[in-house]
Amino acid sequence: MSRPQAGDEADFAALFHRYKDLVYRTAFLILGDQGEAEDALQEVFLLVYTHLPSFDPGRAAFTTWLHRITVNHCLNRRRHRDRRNRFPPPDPADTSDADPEAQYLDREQAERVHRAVGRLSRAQRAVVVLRYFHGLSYAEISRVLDIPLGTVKSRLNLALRTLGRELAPTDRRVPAQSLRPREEHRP
Amino acid sequence: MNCHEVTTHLVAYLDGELSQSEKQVIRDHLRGCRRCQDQVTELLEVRRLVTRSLARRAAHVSAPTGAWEHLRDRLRPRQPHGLCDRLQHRLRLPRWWPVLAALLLATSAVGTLQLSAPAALRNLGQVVGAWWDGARQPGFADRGMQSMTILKPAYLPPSRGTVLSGMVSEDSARSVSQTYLAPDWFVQIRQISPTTDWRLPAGRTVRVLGQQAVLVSGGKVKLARLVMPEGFHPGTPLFSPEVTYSEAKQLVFVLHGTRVEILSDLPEEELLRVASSLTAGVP
Repeated sequence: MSRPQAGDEADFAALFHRYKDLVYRTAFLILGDQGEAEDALQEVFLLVYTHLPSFDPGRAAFTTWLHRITVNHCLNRRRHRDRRNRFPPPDPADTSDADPEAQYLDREQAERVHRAVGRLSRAQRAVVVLRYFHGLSYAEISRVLDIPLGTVKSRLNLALRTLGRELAPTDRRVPAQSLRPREEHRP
Repeated sequence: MNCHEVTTHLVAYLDGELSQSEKQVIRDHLRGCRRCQDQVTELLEVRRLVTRSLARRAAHVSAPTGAWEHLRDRLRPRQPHGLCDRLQHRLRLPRWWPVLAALLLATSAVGTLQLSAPAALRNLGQVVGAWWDGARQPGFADRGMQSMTILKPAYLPPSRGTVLSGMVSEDSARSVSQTYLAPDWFVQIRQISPTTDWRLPAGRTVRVLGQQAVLVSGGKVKLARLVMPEGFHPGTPLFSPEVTYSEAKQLVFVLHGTRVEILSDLPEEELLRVASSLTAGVP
């Protein structure tokens, strides 16, 4: 990609508009709060603007570089925030299905998954977002987070197993058999 | 490969991140292991839930409108506004430079400068001198400075080097101190508003500007010796204060509705000459 130089406002505006949602959504998924994500969006692009002259397209794709700045910034922000409050609940507006029952079930499930993701460690949450939201390969995640490939693999393995344990109890409270229609006893 | 080894690779297996040979090993194990098959089923469901949840959550949010305008304002170089900003901009000072200046001029510990680099003295003098000049600018002076007539000495003794000067308001703006630092002497002039104690200390009575004044001599004053690093320039780590003690005199009197305290290590004659030259120097 052609990269704008810091100071070229029109080019930087184009770059911002192209990548703002990517950064914002990543920040939102890691931080779990829209206000925090808005702050992160600003701060990440200030960092991008500052460090753009040192970005080397020969060493990494721009999106990899942008992911790295975004995730690292969010993890640093999150460290501060962790001391103040817990991972907040998802917004009620998250589910918008027309069917109220499906909406309720979706919301319940979304909340459980969201809470479970929020309880992951920062490092695990980052790899989960990069893999299962952005669809990055393990090698790409390794480059973004600057960690060995084996670490990506073990973090994802641990994260999914943790999520499996967190999400399992509710599912298992209602065995599949209990959902089958009972045979009525006829005298 | 046993069950334990297989489970550590299952997520990567499902993500398609294993080599062909690794995949084959896992497949062979799964064919004969119901327990690991169950794990695959569970992990597939977790992957599905997480992927769906993240996508749904993200789909409902987007960067707020006005984000670019906000960012653009932060990217544009801030136009210097007010004296402090102009000084900071012109001299390329760190944002906390007024703190530096206030430290330098802290009136409880009058400083002398031991400079190894002459350029450092010039730079620092420029900063502090500019700050002093700025004190006369409308809007710079704080409430304390505005509420009293600031006295400025028309006479200062000759010095072997640059005289640094600065002004600071203290005690919740109830007093204002000017400090003049020379390599071989210092003078601190402190003006205190009428809300504080008006009693003069015990000492020898003298006349200054037609007023009764008290000269207290023989006391010790704490000096903070500021050691400037080699190649100092504004913005670099600054100095390490060394506290020393020196003979000093204090002259106290009341003028223009303020209590004036002059602290100095000048000879008595010079001190009285400085005090007698005080005029309303700053509007």
